[in-house]
Amino acid sequence: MSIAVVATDMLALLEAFSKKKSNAVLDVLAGETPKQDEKFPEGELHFPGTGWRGFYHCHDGPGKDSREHGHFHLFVEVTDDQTMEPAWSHLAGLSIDYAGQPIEWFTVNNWVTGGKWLPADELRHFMDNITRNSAQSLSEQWLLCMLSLYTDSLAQLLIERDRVLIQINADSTLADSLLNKDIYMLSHQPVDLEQKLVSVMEDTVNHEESTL
Amino acid sequence: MEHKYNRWIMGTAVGVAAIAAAVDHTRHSLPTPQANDIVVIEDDSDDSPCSLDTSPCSLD
Repeated sequence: MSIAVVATDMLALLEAFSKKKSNAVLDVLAGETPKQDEKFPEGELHFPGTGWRGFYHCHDGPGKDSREHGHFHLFVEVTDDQTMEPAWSHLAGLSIDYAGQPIEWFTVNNWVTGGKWLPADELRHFMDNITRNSAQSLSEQWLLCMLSLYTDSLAQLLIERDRVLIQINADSTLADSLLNKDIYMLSHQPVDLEQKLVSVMEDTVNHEESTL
Repeated sequence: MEHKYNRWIMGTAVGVAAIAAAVDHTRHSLPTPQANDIVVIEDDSDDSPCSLDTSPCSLD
């Protein structure tokens, strides 16, 4: 699926939210006022037909963007190579401002999210074939679109995560670093959805004109 | 089909202004998070504050 198709689908999702006077966060909050650390929606996001899971919550933390209302956490199903049991690996968080707009992708240390730690090059592959379907909620489809629109950025974000983890704790083993509670935020990258969609549109126009 | 999508996104109906409007129409104030009344006793041993609640194969 080309990024132009993803962008088109994102515009359709924005229109659907607009008709409901909503956005991805209001959709998962479902009329509730969030309490600190409370996860939304109840039972979490399951992304039917995919191996993704996630939730939204609000809490303070080191390195938090001052504009942030809360953030989504996105996990992908993996196989634990030691137990061969299914497990979850945290891919990234997505900060949201008080108007319900995405402002930043970020990664955190393993102790923050738990789950199986995978290096950047392995996590990257899980973003290659992201499928969306009508069984997924609007917010789930919106998040999967965000993953597809920002696949290249997220790949870089994860590479930076791994680089920073090694750099700031060079004297420790990886296992120790992953549990080091002095290390919280590892990498982050600003998000401007409007600019991203405009960029995709312009690239598509330029590509089509060059092939005429 | 993909060509049709490309035509749609680059068509005159969907320009920069239309994208800006589409994003803008999803700007809605979010309710301010409230303090949680539940007192959490910190346990430094294996606490992961942002973990999933359930294991992948468990029943909800």
